[in-house]
Amino acid sequence: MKNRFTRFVFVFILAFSGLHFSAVAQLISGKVIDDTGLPLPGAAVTVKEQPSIGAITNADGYFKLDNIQPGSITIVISFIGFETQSIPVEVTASTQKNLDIQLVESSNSLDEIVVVGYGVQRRKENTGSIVRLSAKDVTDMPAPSFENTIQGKAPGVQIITGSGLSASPSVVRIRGISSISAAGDPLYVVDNIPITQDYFINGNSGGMNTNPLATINPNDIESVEILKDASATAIYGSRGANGVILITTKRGKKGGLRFGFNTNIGFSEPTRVPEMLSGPEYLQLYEEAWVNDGNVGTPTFPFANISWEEAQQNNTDWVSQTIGTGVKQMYDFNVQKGAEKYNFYLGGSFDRNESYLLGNSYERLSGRANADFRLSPKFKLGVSTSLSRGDNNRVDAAWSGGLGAAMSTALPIYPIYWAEDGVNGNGDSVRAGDYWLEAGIGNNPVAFREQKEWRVREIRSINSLNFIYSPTNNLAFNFTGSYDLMRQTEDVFLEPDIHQVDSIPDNGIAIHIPRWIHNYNMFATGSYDLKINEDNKLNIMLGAEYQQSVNYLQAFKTVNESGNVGADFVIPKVDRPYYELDNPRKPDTTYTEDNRRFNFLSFFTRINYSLKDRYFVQGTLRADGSSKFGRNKRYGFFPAVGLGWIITEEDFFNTSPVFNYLKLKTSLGYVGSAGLQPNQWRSTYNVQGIAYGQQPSATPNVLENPNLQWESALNFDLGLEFGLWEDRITGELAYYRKASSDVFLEIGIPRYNGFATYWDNVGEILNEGVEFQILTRNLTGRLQWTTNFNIAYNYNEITSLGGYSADAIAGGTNDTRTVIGYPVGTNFLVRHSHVDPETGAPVYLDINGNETLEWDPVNRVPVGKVLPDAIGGITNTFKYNQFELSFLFVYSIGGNIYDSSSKRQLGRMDGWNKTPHIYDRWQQPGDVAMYPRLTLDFTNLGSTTEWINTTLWLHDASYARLRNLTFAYNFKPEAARKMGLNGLRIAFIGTNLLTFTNYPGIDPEIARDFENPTDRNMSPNISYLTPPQERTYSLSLNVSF
Amino acid sequence: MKKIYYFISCIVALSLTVSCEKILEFDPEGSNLEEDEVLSTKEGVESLLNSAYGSVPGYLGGSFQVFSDLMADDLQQPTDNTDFDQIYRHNVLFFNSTVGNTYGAPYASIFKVNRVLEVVNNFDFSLVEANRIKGECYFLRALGHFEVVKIFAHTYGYSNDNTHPGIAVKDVSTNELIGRSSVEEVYQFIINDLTEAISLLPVSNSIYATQDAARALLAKVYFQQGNYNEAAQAASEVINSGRYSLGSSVDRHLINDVPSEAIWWLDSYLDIDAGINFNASAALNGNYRAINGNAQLKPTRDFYNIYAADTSDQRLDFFVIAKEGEPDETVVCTKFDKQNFNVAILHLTDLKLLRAEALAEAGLDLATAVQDVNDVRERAYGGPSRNLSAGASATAIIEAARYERRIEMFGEGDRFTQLKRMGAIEGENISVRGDAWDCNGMILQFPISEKTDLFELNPTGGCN
Repeated sequence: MKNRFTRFVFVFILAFSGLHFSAVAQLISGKVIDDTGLPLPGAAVTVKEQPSIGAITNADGYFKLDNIQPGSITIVISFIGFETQSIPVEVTASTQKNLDIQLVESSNSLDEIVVVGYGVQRRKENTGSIVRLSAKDVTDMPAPSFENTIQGKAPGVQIITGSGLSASPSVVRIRGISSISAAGDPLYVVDNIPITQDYFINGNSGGMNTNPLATINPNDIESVEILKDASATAIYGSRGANGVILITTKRGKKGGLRFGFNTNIGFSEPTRVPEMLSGPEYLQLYEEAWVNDGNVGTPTFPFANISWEEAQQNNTDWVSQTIGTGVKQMYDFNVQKGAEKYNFYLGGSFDRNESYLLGNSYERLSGRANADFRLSPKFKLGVSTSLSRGDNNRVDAAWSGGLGAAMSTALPIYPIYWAEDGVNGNGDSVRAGDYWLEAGIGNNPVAFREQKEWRVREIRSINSLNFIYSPTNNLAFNFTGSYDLMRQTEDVFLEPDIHQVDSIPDNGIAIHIPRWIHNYNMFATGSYDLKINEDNKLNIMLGAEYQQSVNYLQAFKTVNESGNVGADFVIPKVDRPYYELDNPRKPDTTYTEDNRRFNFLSFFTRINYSLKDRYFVQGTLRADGSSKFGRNKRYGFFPAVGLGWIITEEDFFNTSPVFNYLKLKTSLGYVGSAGLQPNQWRSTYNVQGIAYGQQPSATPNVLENPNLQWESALNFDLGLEFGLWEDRITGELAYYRKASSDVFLEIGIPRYNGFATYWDNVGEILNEGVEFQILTRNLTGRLQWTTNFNIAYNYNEITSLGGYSADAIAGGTNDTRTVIGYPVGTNFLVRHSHVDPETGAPVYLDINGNETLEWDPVNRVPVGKVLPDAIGGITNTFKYNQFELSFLFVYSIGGNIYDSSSKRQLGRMDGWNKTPHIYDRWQQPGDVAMYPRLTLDFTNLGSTTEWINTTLWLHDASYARLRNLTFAYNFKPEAARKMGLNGLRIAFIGTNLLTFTNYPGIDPEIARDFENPTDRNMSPNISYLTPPQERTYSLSLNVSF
Repeated sequence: MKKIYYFISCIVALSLTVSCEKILEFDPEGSNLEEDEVLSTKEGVESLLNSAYGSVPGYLGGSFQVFSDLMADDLQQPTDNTDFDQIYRHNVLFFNSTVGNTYGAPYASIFKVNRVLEVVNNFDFSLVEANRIKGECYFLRALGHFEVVKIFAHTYGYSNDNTHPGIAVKDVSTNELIGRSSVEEVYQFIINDLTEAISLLPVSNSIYATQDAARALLAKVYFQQGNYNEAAQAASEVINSGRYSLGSSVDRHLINDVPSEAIWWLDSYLDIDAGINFNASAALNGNYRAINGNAQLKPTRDFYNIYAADTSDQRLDFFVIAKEGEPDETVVCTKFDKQNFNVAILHLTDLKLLRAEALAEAGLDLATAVQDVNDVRERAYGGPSRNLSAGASATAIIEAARYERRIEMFGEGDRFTQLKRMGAIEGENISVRGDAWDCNGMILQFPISEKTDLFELNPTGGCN
């Protein structure tokens, strides 16, 4: 086995040693360190040719081998979780050598320990489909939250990075999408705690959703396991169907006191700067439309208080007024120690992440303390605690203003400031230098930004205490209690100039919204190892778990001078934000529980059986009860079975010259999804004391559905792991089929039922796909070259909607639909055929494909999809001596982008600025143009409604992107040591440096702000003034001492 | 021994199951209560019924009236409301959210009364109370269906046997997918409900539905069917009761008061001190109120000119020329230019003009018909100067009744309904802005939410 693992690591053979050894012949000594320079205690050092000789490294990583027989020998150093290394040494009678050996964390080791739900397993024994990512994978690029770094590294895991806004959340989809109205996100579990993961805690205010993962410091993460198939996820029962992401934080590794310091400093800019028309260009086209419509005389603007003459004097580039260069800085410091009786890891970090949007940054201060105490041979106590504070200094974006306004309603003909003293449209006098607000404050992004202070502060603390009791070697009980707090406080302060609400000019208003989510969890497990004989081993784990989550919202009942009750969260007549007020007024403060309490009560078991260390069977069963489910459907049962077979262990395979490892595995099981808000099943009434006719009234809010239950997915998985030519090539091929039924739909039910929407389990969705991952060591000499490639193809189809129409899903403003026979998030649009060269009128196609000049939504057909056909990534890593160069390309093939805002940016001439693409418009008979004749009147476009969706705005979404380029220098250990360090690494990291795409818009990777989970499931790749992603350049430094 | 183990494990399992069920129960928070709790008392049932009334302003607080009037010929084209503009052009898309959202209001009311009807017998209401509650439910259910069928389906008489598609008829609170009943079926359902309501409702009932309200509505239903005999008879029962009089004012939309002619109205209430505001009239006030001559909805000049010559007509006070002499001179309607008024839905003016026309059409008691018209005229002109002569012909009576009806009920959504009846029942050549009364666009489109395999929407494309 040992030889099967690769040897591509840095080897430093030192000619001189700082240590002095007595002059005994044939002595080889040395020190084993990991790739961060920390000593590795407990590593096994053996001599291949002389099995009787061997040593284990001590607490400081040192080892000594003596009495070696002269000759050519191979020293083999191995340690769990690291790639085994072989070093050829010529031993003579007088050899005395001192070796410094650096082991590299393994990427595909059979003895690697993988974290599974409620425990760990050896990868070899695992029957499920699990991707393990190491600490390095989640910190190799600057990103405030770890999921951004996963993109392209895990097959079948689609990450659509959020927009360019600081800490904006990414969309994570594992093996396609099988939810529609309820959350389709994987379950996030941090150190065994299913954490609060609400993206909609403050809706999509300002054009961004909350990112519940941003307060987790990526530097604290030891590993991330992504569970994909039923064998791996069924232990999470009703919450596993969308995959599970297990995050394990760092604990003190064996060894003395060690310190680590990491920093990263860099710059941010947009991947592409949006191009908009200048003032004169806009006016020219506006006039063209004016004339086309048969108007005469000087054009006028219906949408702003500005004359043609005034407009001609202005030319404001609003885009450049909203974007700049963001500065990023991250500092992380940690201390750890691992002794016999205890170990600990302490970490603290500060991360200030400015985006390229002026005024926008995310600042995180975080601390972590993890410790384990071995109280006696039988008792072990573990503590994990983290506290972080994330301050998001927000700016409006997308539809809400800022860059979004610069790309739309902030016209270049508007000035920023009044040029001279005068009188505004309301008859008030203005001075030169005052903000020009004649088109509304939102259309002066500079004024809007400068007069609005907006901070969203999140305090996050995830804590757990666990107690392990092992009465015998093969029996262990684990009791864990945990508390996860998410406290978010949103503060908006509007200067008096901005808000026109308050009549007192000297005062602004402060908005203060505190929210809490308390998430408690307790579980107990018992596990028993039964070794029947050498060939038959059995492990049984039983457990029970209780989880409860409670939301609170605090509202201030403010009363103004007239005694009227004000808005719940608004504090009028103040001159600074609420949190800066000396004596914050809290008149009639009321706390309201916002009715989103839920709990889970679960029982689970997992049984593993292995035969001859080559046949593996795993059975899992979880029973989940939850208050989220209707009273008739309280408990669900989720069984799964997995099988594994290491073919290369069979005698008949022993002689293969090619395959050194082959493992076949398969699994089948039922897993559920419960990502809906609580209380959707029960009929609640809003009771008012005085209502119609001054009498009491009771108004039903929700139509009862006592049968509302979990979504369930029948998951089948078939996988083949392989290693070729002594693991020069390793990889995995997998096929899966996930048939989801009882999919939650918040159905827009026919209104004749008395309600607009209703939660029901009616949908059926099929996901089927193939994943392939391969790691090849192309060059293993002095110049090392490794390629890691993965691709995942997914087919998605809605197979049933229970008789409802394509428009029945209540999904917010998204322009996608659910259509039977088509994937989730189908673009359902009227087809735009062409622009008539004779008249310049747009020609549409009716439902039968015949040309028509009238736009009618009855002619909508499925024409596109937001899901890609295939996704993946390819990393090439080159190492030469101390230099390392790696680049990661991510790609997405197939699928569509619907550029929803271009229906206005390229549509009729109105109060929106246009992009330069508009020049391809029809001007005179004979013109073959992309866009119709310019007009101010929507009826000239064959429509009875202002803004229409057609295929004109639908584009191919395929792209490839240089996601990460890293050029690093790893100091030689002795060079580091001269500086008093264990290890030192300096790197340049560039992200999103290159993008290849046919998409004509700004950025082909789009996760806009979403209104609700339906929107999030159905409308990634719908762009609406979405800020492009950022390109960053940074320098990083990793020091260990 | 084995049995003991079995017993113990059963006990453990049982106690676990019971306590586990309890663990998963949470009470709703705040002002939200579960249905079980609300509908556990008689007061709860009454509260639910009151909420059903509270839903009526959602459609009859002006919205449905505005939709009807936009489709008819009394209003100018709206300028800055695309949803209204679609209605005006007789081409409503199924994405028209103004229409779509309002369409739900009558059915919200219907859901609540169906729920009340389903549970009312579980309570120990006295027979009188139970009859009243049921009667109110039948009345509100009939009202909701009648208002929807008038504007979302082609009118009664559009097809020979009225088998053309009507609307969804809901008589249970269950969530279900159903199709459209024929117009004949819908009318039969409404008539049955009203007949039932008349037999159950009391004569007086505060602001809530009475026997007279149900009769008045039934008269309107029969009138729309062209069933003039029955219409006149139902109207007569109300008119002859003596409980209502026309009074002297032509304004029937009063604040904190109702005119003597009101049979049933929507109640508005404003108490600033207590912070209570139930405004049933918001949609009328909001759409008609003119500021500097600008209103969302304005009467056409043609409409105004029909009446303008006769300056003794008190109803002309509701119509004002704004921006006189300017290029954008316009007529505006000031009738609804007040806040929080009670909206008269069923009133004596309507019934008198209805009876006059019905009697004339049926060739029955023309003397009563003349008297009905003259009653309305004497109030409008402050005396008998414009009265019909005692021997006026049926044709003259019909013409007079229609003339009065059009201005009397301006803004009440009546004109459109009358035009449909004239076209379908009387065979008159009716069209509005070139669109015939029976063309596809002369009904509203259902919202897209209604579309299922069972429910077909109205044809698209307007009247082209």
